[in-house]
Amino acid sequence: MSVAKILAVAEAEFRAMVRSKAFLISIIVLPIIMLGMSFAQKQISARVDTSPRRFAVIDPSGRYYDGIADKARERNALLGELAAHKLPKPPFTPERVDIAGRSLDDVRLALSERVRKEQLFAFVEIPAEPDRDKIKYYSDHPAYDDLQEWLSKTLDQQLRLDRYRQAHLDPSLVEALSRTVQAESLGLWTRDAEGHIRPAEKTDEVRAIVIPMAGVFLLFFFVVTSVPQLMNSVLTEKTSRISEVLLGSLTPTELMTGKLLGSVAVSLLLGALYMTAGLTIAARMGYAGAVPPALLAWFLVFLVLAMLLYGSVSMAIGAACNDVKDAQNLMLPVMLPLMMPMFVLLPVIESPSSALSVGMSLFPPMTPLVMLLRVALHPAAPAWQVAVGAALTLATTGVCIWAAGRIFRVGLLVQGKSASVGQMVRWIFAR
Amino acid sequence: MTTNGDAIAIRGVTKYFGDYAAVDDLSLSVPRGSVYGFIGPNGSGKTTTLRMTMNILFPDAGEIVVLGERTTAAARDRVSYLPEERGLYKKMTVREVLRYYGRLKSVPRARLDGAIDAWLERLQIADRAGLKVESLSKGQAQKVQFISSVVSEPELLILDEPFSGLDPVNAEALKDAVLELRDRGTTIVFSTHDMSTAERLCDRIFMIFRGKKVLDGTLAEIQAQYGADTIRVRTDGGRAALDGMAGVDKVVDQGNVQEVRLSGDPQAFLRALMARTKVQQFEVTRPSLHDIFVRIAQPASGEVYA
Repeated sequence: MSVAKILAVAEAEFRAMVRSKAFLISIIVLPIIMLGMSFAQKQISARVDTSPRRFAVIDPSGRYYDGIADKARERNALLGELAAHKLPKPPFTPERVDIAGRSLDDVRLALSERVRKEQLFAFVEIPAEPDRDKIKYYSDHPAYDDLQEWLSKTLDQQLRLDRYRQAHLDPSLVEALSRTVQAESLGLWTRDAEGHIRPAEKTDEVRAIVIPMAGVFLLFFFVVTSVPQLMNSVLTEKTSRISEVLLGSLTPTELMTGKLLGSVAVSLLLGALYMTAGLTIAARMGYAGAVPPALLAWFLVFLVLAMLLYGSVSMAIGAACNDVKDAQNLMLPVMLPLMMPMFVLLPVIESPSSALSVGMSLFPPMTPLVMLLRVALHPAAPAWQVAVGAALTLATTGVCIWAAGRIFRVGLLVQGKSASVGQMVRWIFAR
Repeated sequence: MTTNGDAIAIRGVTKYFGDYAAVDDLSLSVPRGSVYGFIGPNGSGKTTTLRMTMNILFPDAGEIVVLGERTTAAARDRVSYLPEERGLYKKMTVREVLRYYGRLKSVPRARLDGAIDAWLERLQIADRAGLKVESLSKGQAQKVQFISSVVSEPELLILDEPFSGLDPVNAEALKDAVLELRDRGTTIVFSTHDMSTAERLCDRIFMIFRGKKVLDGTLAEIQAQYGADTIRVRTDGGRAALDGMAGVDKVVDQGNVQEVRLSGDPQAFLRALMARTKVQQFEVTRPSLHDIFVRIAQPASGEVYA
């Protein structure tokens, strides 16, 4: 094995990948897209339709309209303050309906016409006995439910007050008696090095869920963007006969090792950049110490393992195929075990020590993602499980690199048809 | 350790692909400092032989000693290979590609840039050093590829169709460079389908057909093997004037000139021909390499055209 040659290959691979469009996208365009999206959101919110929602109220009993009008005024007065933090909202403007001797159906039809002509946004019909009959809300905008919900809430409050009064109860007393309680979510009590008992700390969703998930997503993102590039690079070298020149200078194992190292270096660079950015943002948001250094180290370990495992297999596929389509078809089943953990994130987060979680974290193709998640979650995976997972993945990676090397050696020189899976297996065990 | 002073010594080598013997019990010696031409029809085992020489493939039987080294990779840095076409990274600049290939041949960095500049200058493409490979013309790319294979100053240079697709000026430039390398002591093996290039450049020629060696020697030795039975004629009657003439085994029509393989007496043939048409040129000669190639590779089809 010539280390100098391996490093030369790694350097060339690193340079090629860093200059590729995919790298530019992941490093420049992705943050730009994220910034652009928040900018777009602001732009969109500035253009939200805030024209007044005028609605008619059919209130035959005459008991409810004034309450609705008062509440609408209160709400509209608050809108200016709310707009500073949230999406701007339109004011609600009620209009009393005078039935004036018409039949109720005539009134309903007339109001419907006005809604159709957009003179009104909606109309509501409050029965004399709302406890017995339903309140009816009519509109031509079934997707917009703010007004309907606001009306329900407002009338509900009003009706409740009425009921308290009818029962001769003091509304403020009822409120006080029916207040709700909530359980606070805490960790566990501990004893520190000096023997003092330390109280449990409040659990924090960011620490408990957001950080572990962010780690897993990042790892997934790096592997999913780098691995196909590795496959493409091998395929391109093969179809443009570069491999033949290279194999005249170094062994297939040296070539594969160099390429793997180059792409591991690229993903470590990406990882370092994203980590720095992520930690800076976290610090700004008051989560400076939320990511323990051990977790960062595990992230890098599993990133390297995942890159080696999936990188070696995808290089073998690149070497065995003769066009991108065939290679992509073969890549799909290979990437499946990488994608699987993404579908079971929630069950693992909810019970990190369940049989499913432990099983998947010890199944080598899934270990990098699932074990990383378990290391980040609370309770963290026991050290022996992490060690076994890492060792199994390392062993599998070794087997994959060896098998991929065998396929690589034969595949690179076979022009014409892409190899079938059966052929690749034969190549692995060929003399 | 050197073995017999040969650059390549192939002894009883057989290589199977499945049940098919791509190379069958082949023995060959390529002396150091020679220019050795490898010829043979497509699929006859040339590339397999070259790949085994470069340690990309391994023989199933027999032994290959390259520059005196029996172990697989020991001679790797002293041997260079130039494939027929392509083989360059399109997105790299000319200098980057040459540096990369040089490093893969373990050329010390201190010496590498000097060697690259000298070769770029020698082949008149120094102004292209900073350009991406994809922007080069075919001729320029082929020159870059040639430089990539010689920048390490190999003791053995293996070229696969090095001049195909080149215009005469570029082809001459590369031929001169090959001869210059030979003069400096580099052993050159090149495979080609261009028989006239092989005749002009090679000290020795080796032909492989269906995995077996069918020719091996200097051009004169090979031609002597095939006798002086070839007559080159140029007549007013052209190809048609030769129809039905006695003693004519085969006619290779080259347009204005016809090559006739004759089994009878050349003088009698000349008299008969003069009776038929006006003869402008009549030369008793040895068969060309092209003719010998065709005789071997196409023995059964249309032996006699006359």
